[in-house]
Amino acid sequence: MALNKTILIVDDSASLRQVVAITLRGAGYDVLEAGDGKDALAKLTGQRVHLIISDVNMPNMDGITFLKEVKKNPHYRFTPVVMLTTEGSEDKKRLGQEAGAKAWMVKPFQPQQMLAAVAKLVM
Amino acid sequence: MMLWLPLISPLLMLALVAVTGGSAGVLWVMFLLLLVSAAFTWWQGQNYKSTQLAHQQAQDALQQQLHSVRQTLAYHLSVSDVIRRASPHWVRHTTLVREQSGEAIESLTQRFDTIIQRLTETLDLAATTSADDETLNRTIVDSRADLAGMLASLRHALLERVQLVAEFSNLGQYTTVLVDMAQEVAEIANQTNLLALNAAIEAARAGEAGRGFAVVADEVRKLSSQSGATGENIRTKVEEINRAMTNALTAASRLSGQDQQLIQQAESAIDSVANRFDRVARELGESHQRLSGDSSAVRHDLEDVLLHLQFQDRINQILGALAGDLERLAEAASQQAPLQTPLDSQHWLAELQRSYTTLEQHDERHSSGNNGGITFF
Repeated sequence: MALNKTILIVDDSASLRQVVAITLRGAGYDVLEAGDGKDALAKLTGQRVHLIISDVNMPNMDGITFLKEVKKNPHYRFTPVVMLTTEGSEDKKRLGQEAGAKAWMVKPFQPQQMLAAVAKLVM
Repeated sequence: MMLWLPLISPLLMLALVAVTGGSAGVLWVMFLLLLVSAAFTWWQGQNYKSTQLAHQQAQDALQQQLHSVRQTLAYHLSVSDVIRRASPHWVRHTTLVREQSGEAIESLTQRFDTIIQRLTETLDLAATTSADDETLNRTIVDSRADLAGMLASLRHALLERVQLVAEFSNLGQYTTVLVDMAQEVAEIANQTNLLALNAAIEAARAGEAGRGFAVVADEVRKLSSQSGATGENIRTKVEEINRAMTNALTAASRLSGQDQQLIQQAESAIDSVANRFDRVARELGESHQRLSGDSSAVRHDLEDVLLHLQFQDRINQILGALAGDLERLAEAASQQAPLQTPLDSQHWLAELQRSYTTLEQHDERHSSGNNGGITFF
């Protein structure tokens, strides 16, 4: 069990957030949720976050913009970010990589696959 | 181009008559000219009719084409009008589908999450109960051992009682000896009495000299009588004791048999109860294991269901792209002079494809159920 590790999930789909949260909580992680990039930035107020999992296509602030904002934030610039999206094109992946993402996961995901990636990346 | 020929033929004939003075050869020539002129005139007439017919047919065809174009234009205008009026409804309905399916899936996900949490609690409780099952089994084994120890103690006590009864039986043999001894005492007393009686007779025959001896003989006779009575009393008491001991031994033997039977019954009952508890505990354990297995399977199934609910996110994005395209279509249909700004279908499709977010939108052969995969940077 991964005690005292907090992961922020950013996705405009509430059901998808729940699916990710169930998977992570089942493995012992603490979970924070945000509905879009703007909401997520408002939640990043200094507390320790060990990993961020973010969607790409979201209202108000998309995932790539959010990722760039996170990398500008001195508190969270080294926090690993995984993009979780339906987008599977190489162009989009390259955008994510250039913005500083650590991994690009295409939905639908398998829980063991996600947990393995999280275990590998969580700080 | 030869229309002038029938017009100038009479003029030529008149000129020839005037020049030649109306000779026969000239008349023949005139006749031939007239004939040629008539034939040519008839041919020209036919040709004119066919040309007029062709012109009429071309005009009719043109009218039909014009009518068809008008109809097509009217149709396209009506389609454009339908699109302009209907597309806001399409957009609204598409948005409704996205919202309602999203809310429904969110509700389903919450319910499944609740079920999974309850199942998890049940499985945790089952794990604790499983430990209790082990405790129960251990308790049964310990109880069986304690009861077996108690039975061994009872058997030991029974054995000691049997030994005690055997000792009492041996005492019964001593009482027989005691009875014989009492009998011998009685006989000795009887013999002594006879001897005392003979002594008294001899003392009386001795006269004054035997007076003292007569007193002694009398005392001896009294003692022998007392001894005889005592011996008889001993025999009676020993017989009573012997009878009491025999009764006690009989009772003890009967009780020993009953105790043995009771111990066997207790042993059998303990075995039966312990076996029953064993069976119940085993059945409980099996039921518990089966329930735990079923609960785990259901939990995994529910987790799979939750994962498959990810389709809602994909549907939302596909419908979002569709709604955006419908809005573009509505905007295009609302233009004041659509015919002056024709739409470029290739450009339109390129714009639509730029809004695609899933692989199956780009390639319908790609299944949405495929595992998306992960790329580490």
